[in-house]
Amino acid sequence: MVLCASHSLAEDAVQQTFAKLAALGPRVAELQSPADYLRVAVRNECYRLLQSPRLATVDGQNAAALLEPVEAGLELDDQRRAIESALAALPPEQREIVQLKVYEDWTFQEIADLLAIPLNTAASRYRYAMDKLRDRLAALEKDESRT
Amino acid sequence: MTDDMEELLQRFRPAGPPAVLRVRVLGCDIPEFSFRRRWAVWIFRGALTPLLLISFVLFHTTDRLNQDTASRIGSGPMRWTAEAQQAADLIGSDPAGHQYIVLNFLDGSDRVAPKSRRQGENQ
Repeated sequence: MVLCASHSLAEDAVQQTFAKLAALGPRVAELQSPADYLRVAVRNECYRLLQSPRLATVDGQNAAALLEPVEAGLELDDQRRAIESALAALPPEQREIVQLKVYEDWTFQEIADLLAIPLNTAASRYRYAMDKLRDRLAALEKDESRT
Repeated sequence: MTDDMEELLQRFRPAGPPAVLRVRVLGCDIPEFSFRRRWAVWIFRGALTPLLLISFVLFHTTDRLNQDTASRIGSGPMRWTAEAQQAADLIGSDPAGHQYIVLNFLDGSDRVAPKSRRQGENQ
């Protein structure tokens, strides 16, 4: 969902993937690693949907929360909204790496293997993403202090 | 530098699916579904049984009617009347015509065909 930055897009991607799986029929049993296949298929579907200009517009209008606080009861709504906005502004490739590294605790090597990119590219994409997030959050903070 | 951002991001986690969706997907009762399907099979069987019974009764009824008709035609002596002869002449005098006359114009007491015609048929 972080990759899509939208509830509805993520749901569409999962639904499309399962529809394709259902179309495979009994051949599903022949898959070597169904979990890996599912992950890659959902990811591809996310990118396909993100490239659709019509869906990208809908995506921007989606107001459903992408993140939730780890500790219940914390008043972090403003912070959450700011981070969501900053994440949504990232290119999908960088957002995906942030999700895998921060929220799924993957190593850069694992990420590089999954995305079929060099290890250094994975690490640099992550670094760029973090820089952009920081800048974006600082800009948002500045805007809020002005208002 | 990235550690502070990671720390900030880790205060949150990706929101799961909405509670409604979770209930809809995980609360799906498969046994109830199969129970319904079993009922559908029984409804089909229930509809099929009377159809089979009706076709069985109809088959026996038509069989009995056929036997009655066959016994009415019979192979016993038949009396050929002038009316029957006239009708036979009208439609032709082949064996099928004779049988038609016997079935439609003669009752049981009149079933005697003319000797000349029966002999003609045997030849």
